[in-house]
Amino acid sequence: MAVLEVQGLGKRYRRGAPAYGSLRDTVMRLVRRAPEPGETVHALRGVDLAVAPGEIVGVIGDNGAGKSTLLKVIARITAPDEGRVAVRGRLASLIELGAGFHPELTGRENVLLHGSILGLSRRALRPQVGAIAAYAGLEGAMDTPVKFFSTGMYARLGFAVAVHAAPRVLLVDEVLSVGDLTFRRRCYESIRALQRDGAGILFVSHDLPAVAELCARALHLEAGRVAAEGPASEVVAGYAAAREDPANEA
Amino acid sequence: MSAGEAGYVVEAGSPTAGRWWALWRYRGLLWSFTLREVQVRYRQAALGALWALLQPVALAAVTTLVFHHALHVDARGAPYPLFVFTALVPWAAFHTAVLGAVPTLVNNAGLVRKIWFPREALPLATVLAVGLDLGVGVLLWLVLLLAYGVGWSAALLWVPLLLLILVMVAAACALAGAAINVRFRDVKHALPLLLQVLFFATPIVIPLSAFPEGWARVLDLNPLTSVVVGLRDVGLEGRAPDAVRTLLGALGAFVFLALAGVLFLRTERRFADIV
Repeated sequence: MAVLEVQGLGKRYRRGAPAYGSLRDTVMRLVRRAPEPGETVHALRGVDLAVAPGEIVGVIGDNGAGKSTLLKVIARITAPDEGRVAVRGRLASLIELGAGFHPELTGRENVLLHGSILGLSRRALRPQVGAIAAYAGLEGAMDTPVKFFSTGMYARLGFAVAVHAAPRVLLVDEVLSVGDLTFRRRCYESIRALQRDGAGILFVSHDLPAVAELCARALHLEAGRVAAEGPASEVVAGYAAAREDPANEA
Repeated sequence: MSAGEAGYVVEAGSPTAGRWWALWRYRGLLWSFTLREVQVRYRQAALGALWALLQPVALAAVTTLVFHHALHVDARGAPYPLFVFTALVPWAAFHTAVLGAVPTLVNNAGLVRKIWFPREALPLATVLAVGLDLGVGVLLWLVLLLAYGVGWSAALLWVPLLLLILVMVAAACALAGAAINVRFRDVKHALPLLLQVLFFATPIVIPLSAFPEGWARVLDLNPLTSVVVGLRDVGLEGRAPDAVRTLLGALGAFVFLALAGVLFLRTERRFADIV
């Protein structure tokens, strides 16, 4: 059974209007019976997708095609307007590495905090802190507040915690580009290892060769819809060809 | 089974019934956020946790000067500084908790936009972290009861119940305020004013019995009144708190908390889009 299932997923946004505002604007709009400002944009529409255990599915598409929105809806960060998402098992998302870190806390304290965001107890995680630090190459820095960390250190620690959470479903969004070559190589190794352990992985990237190499299957999103789906090499080739042929540029 | 292991289903429409229990499954996270609050608040602060005591103590000194010495407000037999300190300990905790909790979702926008977790953990952790201040304040209050020669009685066993009402009201204000603050940034301007009004709508500096009958009824609509008056009954008078007032206060606090919870879960689905 698929570890991740997406059916008929749709998400709408309003363009041109700030979503938050002052009470006065809202009251005035209600008084005047004016509609909400802005036009409706479908960030996602009728997206279907299933990821089996041990499968890596690539997601490609232009900026604004809905790739990040898809991951955010799957990760429960924002709610869908249509459709359904089913996740079977623990989910870890590498949407932004180290997003759960607090600058004033030390590396060690942040590992425990970040772990509990992923649903791991402090007690279960404490013995693993050493291994996580070693994995991230930060053994000497775990008692330093992370506000003194570099971007790369931040990202490495975030990735290390997510991998040690042993997720069944992993979402990866264009985050591996921040680390150096050694770390990037280790990230790919870890993704492969999670795959062998039966995790289902959704891999969003603009790095087309990486998608073709890492994924068996891929999805091409265009304006919120699935434009193509199939073997990764074919989908990547089709996308690349469409972008290179000026006749197809609209 | 640890939190998050079973997976989940997301559907368009209203939140599922299981959403109400998410915080229980993620209690480890609530604890982590609470620890983070405490650690961050007093890190690099030379006086540390003493700041928690300074607020009610300083307020008690000022209000004693203004209301007792200048305006001759009488505490009906009790020493006025002790009388007002009894009310300022819960008030200072409430004030700190609500003021701190309301902006938590906006302040942690990076977290809210990038990761899922039960969002109520953020404002509620601030409330729980203030529990430390409250505990220290209550200890000092107990010492002052001895120092002023009032002594302790068995009625002090009611204190935990009264503090529970206080925490429920603070949690309700924290949840509702934090949720509304995501949508309307007006809250930032309104909150200090609302808290100031509430300060005088709670019998903190003037005894409830000094208010005209009708006004006393209005003040009784405020669940914080049951906390303040109750603490004075058990601490200064050595008797059980008024049963009707305490019961209604607890009931009001519970209803308020439930409504705030519903509001929070109904608006939560769009937090990440608009925060």
